[in-house]
Amino acid sequence: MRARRWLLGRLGGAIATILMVLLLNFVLFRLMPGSPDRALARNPRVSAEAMQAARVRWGLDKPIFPDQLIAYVGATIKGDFGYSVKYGGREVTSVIGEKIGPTLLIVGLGELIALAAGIALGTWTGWRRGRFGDRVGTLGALILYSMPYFWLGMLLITLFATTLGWLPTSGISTPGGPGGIEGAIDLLRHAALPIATIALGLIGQYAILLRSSVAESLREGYVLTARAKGLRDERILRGHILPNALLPTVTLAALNAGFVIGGALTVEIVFSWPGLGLLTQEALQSRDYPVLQGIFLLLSVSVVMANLLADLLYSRLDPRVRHGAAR
Amino acid sequence: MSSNVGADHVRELPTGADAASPLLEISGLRVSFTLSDGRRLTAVDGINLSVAPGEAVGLAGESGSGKSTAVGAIMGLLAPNGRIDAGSIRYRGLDLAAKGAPLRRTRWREIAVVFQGSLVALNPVIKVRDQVAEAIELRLGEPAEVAHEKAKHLLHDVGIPEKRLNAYPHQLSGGQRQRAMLAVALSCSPAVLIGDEPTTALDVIVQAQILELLDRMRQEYGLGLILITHDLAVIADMCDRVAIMYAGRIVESGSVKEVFSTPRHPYTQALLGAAPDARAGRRIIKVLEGQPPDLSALPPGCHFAPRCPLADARCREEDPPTIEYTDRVALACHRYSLGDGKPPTPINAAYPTLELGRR
Amino acid sequence: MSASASVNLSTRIRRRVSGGNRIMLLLLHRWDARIALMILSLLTLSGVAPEILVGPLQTATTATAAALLPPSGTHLFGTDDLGRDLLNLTVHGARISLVVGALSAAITLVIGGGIGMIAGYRGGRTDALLMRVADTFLILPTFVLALILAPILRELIGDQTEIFGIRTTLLTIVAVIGFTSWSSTARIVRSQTLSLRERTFVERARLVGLSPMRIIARHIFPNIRTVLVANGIVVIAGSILTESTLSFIGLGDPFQPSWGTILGNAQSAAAPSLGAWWFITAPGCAILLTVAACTIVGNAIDELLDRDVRVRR
Repeated sequence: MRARRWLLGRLGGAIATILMVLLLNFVLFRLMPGSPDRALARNPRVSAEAMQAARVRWGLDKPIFPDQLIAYVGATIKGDFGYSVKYGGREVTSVIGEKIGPTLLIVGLGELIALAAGIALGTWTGWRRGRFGDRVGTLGALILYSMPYFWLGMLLITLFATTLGWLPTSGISTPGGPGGIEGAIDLLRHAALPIATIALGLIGQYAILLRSSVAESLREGYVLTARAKGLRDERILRGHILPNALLPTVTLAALNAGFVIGGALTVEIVFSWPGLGLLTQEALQSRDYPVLQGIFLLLSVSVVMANLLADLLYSRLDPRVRHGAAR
Repeated sequence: MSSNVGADHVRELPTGADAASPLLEISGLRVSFTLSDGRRLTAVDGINLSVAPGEAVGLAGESGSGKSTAVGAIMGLLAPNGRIDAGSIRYRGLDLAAKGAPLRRTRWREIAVVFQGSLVALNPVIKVRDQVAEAIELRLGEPAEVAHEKAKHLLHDVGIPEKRLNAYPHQLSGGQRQRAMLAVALSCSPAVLIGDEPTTALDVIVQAQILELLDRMRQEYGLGLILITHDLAVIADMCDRVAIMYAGRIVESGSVKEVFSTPRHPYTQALLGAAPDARAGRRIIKVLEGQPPDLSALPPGCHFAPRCPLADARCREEDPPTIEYTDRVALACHRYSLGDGKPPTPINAAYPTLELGRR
Repeated sequence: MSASASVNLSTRIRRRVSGGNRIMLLLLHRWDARIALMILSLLTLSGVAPEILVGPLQTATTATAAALLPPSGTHLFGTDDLGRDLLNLTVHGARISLVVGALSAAITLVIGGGIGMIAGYRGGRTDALLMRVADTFLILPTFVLALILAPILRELIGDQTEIFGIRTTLLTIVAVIGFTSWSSTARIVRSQTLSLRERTFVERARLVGLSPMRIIARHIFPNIRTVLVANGIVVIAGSILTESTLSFIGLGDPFQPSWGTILGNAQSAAAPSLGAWWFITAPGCAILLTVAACTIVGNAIDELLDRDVRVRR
């Protein structure tokens, strides 16, 4: 019962945040001078019918508050994000939709690799706290953490693609290239560096977090008990320390799921990877506000969802939260 | 009380020994730590202690007197900057303080510890039952289901109610957690059980229950029990013998009856006189002034001299040797000499007193 | 200096020197903080008076060298695609990063600190509302929000005006970063305020009848100063990163190239594919060193504050 109320509370919070995001979206793009309909009007590529339909749908002849706002919110909830300026009046949803896949590919794989490697690195340095391996590992994490993602990407291209020639320099596939299995391999070869860039960029956070969690756990009483029981180090690490140390990591991973997409944008630009990042850059340059708005909304909602997921996961995994304290 | 578990745990006495020969014998144990600025701190400075099967020995002293360090040394769990400088810790003839001693073998299966602060000593994200079963499974080699069954019986044995058998530590009350810690400690049927302040955080009624449980387990399992606490009342209740520890040394030891009725060392007298005794209606308490010394910067002589009303010049220059008398009484104080070998007449140390007002 | 002597030194310092100076002195004890502070001093020098180090900023018209030359005696860092000396550009770029970092951090601290103090002090519904707003900003990806606000603000303010010798294009970046990153500062300040609120001297001030604003200004603010400083340094690090990313994408000022803009130029000139590693390395390392230095100093101050608090208890 208590759990359900908490869940409803969280959901309510998430919805409230999304509504604020919608409000922000509306204010930004409607009240600003570069408002969409003006942009549409300036763009010769949009047909007269599309323009008229947009005006009617957006109710641009009606007052801003509350009619336009409600119309906007209503339209958005129904999934109508408007029409792209640049792509000649194509629906924003379709424009965004076809670019999501490539982004998800590199972000998803990059995140997974960073998670696995970061946990391993963090555990290794946390266990050896204060000793040489720890210092080196922490320094490495700090360096990775302090560089812009895109710079890392550029360096990797220069090293692995240009100088060593092992991997292609950009794009998602070789033009006119093979299909089938070979096509898949080709895809992976193109995806390797972008994924590596994202993974390296994220690894630092997980490593640092895991390190402090493990180092903290080592000082806890239950580790002393475990040692007194005569358990081997490896068993203590695996069976006692990690279950405790991984809890905040889970939260971080879920939170990151929302933010990573922001960092991936620049990586896509560096690698000319046809995903949301490139789309954002193009939309910026061509003042395609409906698309920008759509991307912004998509990213914000995914972050909110990721947060919610993080909360849920944590509550399930930590028995202290799941069962609540007694008496 | 389940009887089927009892049979497994009755320990066979070592051959050629009788019930009175000690299980664990510590002699001349010295433990020191290296501080971050290079200085050495001697936490335990030559102590002698022994426990026989079925015997309960109390180790009393203020915090910082070195009690917990002694536990760390016995289990081989000192912090990385600590080491055993001298002495021996003999368990059934095996010196645990020697290099290459099979510490891991003796841990838990022979000597187990009930730590203070059960909420901290138990892993919060693992069920209590699993923590009990863990040692049974991994140290005794029992298959998982058997280990879990035994764990269930153990928990039941120490008084955890049925519906809490699958609980996590935070779901238990303080007293239940301490019982659970006891079950964890007994899981490999050790011969020696060390209780490091096992009842300190509990209220008086629960404390009595836990002590009674400890006593029952001691009898049932034939355990040698070392009870470490600053609470003299607990020792008076539970123990056969007591050793009083101050600044890393044992200043007086003997049977509880002897030491508590005839305290000889000035520190013991202060300890016993410091507590208002509700039952005896004592309203005059002795005041021990000052602080325990800084162990990293000890002046020469008896560690207790700065606070001792009986201290003279010799006390401040020479370390008092530990003199052993008959009836297993031992004393470390210059004011008492060997004499005829019998426990000497106590010298009354005149402490300032405080009368508790009648309100 | 032997270990025990240095322990005594810092205790003596602690007793004699107060506040910010003490923290600075204690910082210098740590080798990593020393290096970090040296880097930051170099950065500040480059930002304040770049002409002293490398002469005036090279532009497309004043560039004399050939394009994309690798590092050599005459051009330590090589040249870019327009023949400009990269050492020159990098040093001048420091000013942008310095100014952007400092200004954005200032805005963040003012907004975050202000909201945090108000929320923490008043509590109740004000607190809940402010924190809900803060959460929204915390959750929204700063970068994306900045991306979207920047062109809008640019249209609003226009391209041509100059303030403090910095064009408005950059000022919009500053404003955007400042307005979008205040929420974590607000949270930190709020929790500090909450604990300060219960202290007796605040109680006394309240009983005397001082207005809330005055209490906040006179009593609460002085006590959160060090927290703000530690947080501020970390915020500077973050804003430098965000600024470099925004400039990389093209939102920066081509006439006052920051490190991010230089990297953006490198990308457009296809430097990675051409193997012009010097074009990429110099500005990137500058960013890396600056952000790492800020992080080290910020963490060190944090640790020192922690130790102080623990000792005092």
